[in-house]
Amino acid sequence: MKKKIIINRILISIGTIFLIITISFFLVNSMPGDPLVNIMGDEEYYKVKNSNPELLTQIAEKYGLNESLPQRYFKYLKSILTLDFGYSYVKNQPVLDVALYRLKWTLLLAVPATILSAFIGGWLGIAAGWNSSGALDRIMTPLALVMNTIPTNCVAIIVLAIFAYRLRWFPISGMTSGGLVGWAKARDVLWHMALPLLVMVLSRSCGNFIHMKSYVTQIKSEEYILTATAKGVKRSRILRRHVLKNCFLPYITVLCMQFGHIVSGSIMVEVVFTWVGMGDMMNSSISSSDFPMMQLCFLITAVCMVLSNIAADVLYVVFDPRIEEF
Amino acid sequence: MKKLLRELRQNKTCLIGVLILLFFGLMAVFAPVLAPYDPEELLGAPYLKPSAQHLLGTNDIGQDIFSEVVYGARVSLAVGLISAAVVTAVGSVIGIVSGYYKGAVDKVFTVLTNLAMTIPSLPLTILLVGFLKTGMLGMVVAICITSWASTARVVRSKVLQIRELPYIKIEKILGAPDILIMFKHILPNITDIVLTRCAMSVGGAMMTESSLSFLGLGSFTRKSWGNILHFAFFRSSILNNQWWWYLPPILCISLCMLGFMLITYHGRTRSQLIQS
Repeated sequence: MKKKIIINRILISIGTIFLIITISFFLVNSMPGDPLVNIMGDEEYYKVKNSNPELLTQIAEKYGLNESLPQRYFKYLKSILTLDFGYSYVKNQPVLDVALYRLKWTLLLAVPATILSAFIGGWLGIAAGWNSSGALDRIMTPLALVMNTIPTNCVAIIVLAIFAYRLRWFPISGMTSGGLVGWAKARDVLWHMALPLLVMVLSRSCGNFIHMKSYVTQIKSEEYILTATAKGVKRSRILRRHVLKNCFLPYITVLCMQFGHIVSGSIMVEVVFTWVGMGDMMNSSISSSDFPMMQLCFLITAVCMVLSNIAADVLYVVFDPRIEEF
Repeated sequence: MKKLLRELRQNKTCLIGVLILLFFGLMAVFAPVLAPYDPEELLGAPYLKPSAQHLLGTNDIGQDIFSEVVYGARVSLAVGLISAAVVTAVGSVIGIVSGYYKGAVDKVFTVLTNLAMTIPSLPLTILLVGFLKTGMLGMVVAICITSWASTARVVRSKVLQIRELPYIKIEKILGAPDILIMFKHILPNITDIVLTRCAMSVGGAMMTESSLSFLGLGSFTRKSWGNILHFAFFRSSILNNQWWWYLPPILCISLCMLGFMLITYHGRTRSQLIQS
């Protein structure tokens, strides 16, 4: 039964990814204007047109621009299956190379941020939910709710103004000072990472806190908790054995969804701190109208979402024995 | 109306939210009265510090920042309200239709909704705005395409419950037309959900708008708060310590978001069905 559910989910996900690829293809191809200009970007197109017109016909051939739309679509699908996502004429590199390099930096920032905020938000959420209307709950809940409403770029700018400009504790932008190797370089990157990491942890912890708190308060009012209390089970044991066990399932789903937003959620922070990652790349590829790059960015974020959705479903099925009954 | 006022007086959080939004609403409506200058007007000296003449100084091309912020309320709220109206209308109709008819119609819409919810919305919106390239209208269209799904889902689940109630069944047997049942008899019963979702959509749309404008994807002819922040940030107002430039738009956006959050928080506690 469980196997069937998991297989079903995976099939749906494959379908979703296929649909997303199709959407991104038709978006680019239904755009007004010469598709060749769209693929290459305005500036590059005219540069090449003046210097090397033959290259234009070569590119047109490669993308099959002279063929009909369905033929082009199949060509596109085939090239994606062989992991050929096109060539960025703005950056003069295959888009995949650029994206992989950028992805590395995004993950360096986003993975620790997600893990840290999972622990911080979860732990505070448990504490506040278990002693609801205690001091922690009364301070943290309004704080987290308000933090959740302030857009990330605003938080980032304020943090930047205070810690980097006023106090000068941290650098204003960038990822390394350059010219360093080994241990010194690692320390330097960490120093540059501190502020963007702080902003991400802050905003995500608040979200996690609210989720975890609501799960704990919900489960606390269940009847089996009352029964356990009536039986004289210690409070700490109730928390560990009965409350936490049931909270972790929905919390895992929340965390998985966060991993899905790992790329798309860091756009704002990356732009503000000029952290040269995927989010920053997505932004710059729009302003330079580098469409192959944009397509790949969109595809990567979508695939992240789909994968994390599967992960959430599979973990749920694996950990929740009740699913067997359905 | 009286009932609404009484309820507001009892509920402090909601009242604060309403007051905040009222403040920004009035600011948008009376912008020509409040703003001392035309926000588009080039007044000469750029980068002026705050003074009696220019309450918040001037920006990089010599426009009065205070007037910009006041007029910005118009643009930000307009984008938020228009997109939210469309999003709520589309989402509710899809939700009602798929919840009411069930079967094949429901399957198709559910698949569509799930798909729309899996595609990460900010990148898709950025992509769409990049493609549409038409400023404010393009932004509204992009926001609508990417954010109708959660409303549809919530409405559908509520309609699924309502359609099993006796009075709907009786109406069906009496042969009332489906359109009449759906929009005259089901819709009034889900207004609180629809309105709460609408307030959430306004907040969400304004958030998206400010993010996109901050990235420089908004319209440059009519400046919203996000747009002011874009210029403040990318003309390095932080390094020049011009807090009067970057702080006001941040405060306006955040306060506005807070207002919508307080209202929807109230709505959500009232009808537990609505999930964020």
